[in-house]
Amino acid sequence: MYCWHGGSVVKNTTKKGRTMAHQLMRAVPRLVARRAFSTSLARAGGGAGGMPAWQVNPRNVYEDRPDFPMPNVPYVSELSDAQKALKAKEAGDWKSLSDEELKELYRLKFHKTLAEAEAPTGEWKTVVGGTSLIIALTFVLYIIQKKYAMPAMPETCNYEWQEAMMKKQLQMRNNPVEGLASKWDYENNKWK
Amino acid sequence: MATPAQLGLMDAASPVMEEMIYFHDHVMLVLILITCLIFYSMLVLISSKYIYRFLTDGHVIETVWTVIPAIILVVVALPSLKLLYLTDELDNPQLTIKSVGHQWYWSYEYTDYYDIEFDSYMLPLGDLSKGDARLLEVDNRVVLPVDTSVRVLVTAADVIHSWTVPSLGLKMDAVPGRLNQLALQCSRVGTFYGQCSEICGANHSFMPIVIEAVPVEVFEGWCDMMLDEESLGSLNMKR
Repeated sequence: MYCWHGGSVVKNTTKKGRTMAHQLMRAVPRLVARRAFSTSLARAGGGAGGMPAWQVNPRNVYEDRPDFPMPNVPYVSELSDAQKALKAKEAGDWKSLSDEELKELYRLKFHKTLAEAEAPTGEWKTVVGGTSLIIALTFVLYIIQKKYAMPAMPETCNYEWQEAMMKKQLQMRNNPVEGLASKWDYENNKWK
Repeated sequence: MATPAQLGLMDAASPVMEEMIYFHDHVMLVLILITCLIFYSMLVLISSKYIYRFLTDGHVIETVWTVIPAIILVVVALPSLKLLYLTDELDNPQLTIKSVGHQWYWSYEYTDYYDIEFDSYMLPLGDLSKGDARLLEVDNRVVLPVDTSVRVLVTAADVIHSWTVPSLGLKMDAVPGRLNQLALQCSRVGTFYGQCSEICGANHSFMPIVIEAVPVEVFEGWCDMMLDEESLGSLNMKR
């Protein structure tokens, strides 16, 4: 068996008499699976047995929800030494906590304040702007087509023909109940 | 014929079409009421600050919003079925005509009393007089007496076409090898237009139907004209 550059791929056999190609075929799926699994482990943060937290229990994920501003878990779960010390201080008398310490404790528990979570993002400007741009492009394309590609309108679309057609329809008493002819005063020859 | 940018139905020229307009108004009322209710609910829900996160079911309201639509459907279905059977009623027709669809024109046969046959081709743009409707005018119109019950037998010679006249509330497929029957009655004199309503090839959009409803005396005169060899020759039609 020869590979694309002309050289032999499976000329040499290895242990147990299996060819390189045969061994590759067996090893590649195993290596890919291992890499994929370890990639997911590399991305995981917390949770039991190396699994990511959201796979163990979907509720143990921090989320800022304006309609339900009570997340299940604190925002910062792994505390540094300074933060642990602050937490220990929190267990005591709260009057001893300074304003800065209170704010830091709040930020350990929550990512955003309610006001920050409810604050407008301005995304509507992107949406409106993008939509308007696409609509404008559509109009430009249409104008180009109308000017250079489409054939001329038939003469039945010009004003004189339309006027003559309306006169004929009135003579025919077209739609005399609630439509066109019902709005024409035949005795005085004018619109009602 | 419809006027430009017309949205609603054309005025009725037959009793069946009048009933169809009434039915359309009835169903449209029901639809508008339902739509208003839905929009109101949506508005109230969207503008509300409160959410009940643990809502899973509501047996009473689910029953209500199943039973009430069923009642609404009955209210719509009863007049619908009545109208459906009304369109099939044929009240002792005094005249029978045949309409045969071809690619791409209609041919008509009045064989009850006389032997009158003619083809009806769309007038091309170059042959129109000023004020004629493009894609709607034909060279030979279907002339019928007003206030007369007419049976129309619709068929086709090659592929499926559909013979339609919206102001009279008529639509019937022209199927080769089959005769479909239509009941036609024009309540007023006038000219009524329609177009082929089943895709039948390249010129499907260019085979219109024009019915000219005239007083009985005028119809008789037209029949005499059609039977007169000389005038037929000048009109290039066959008897």
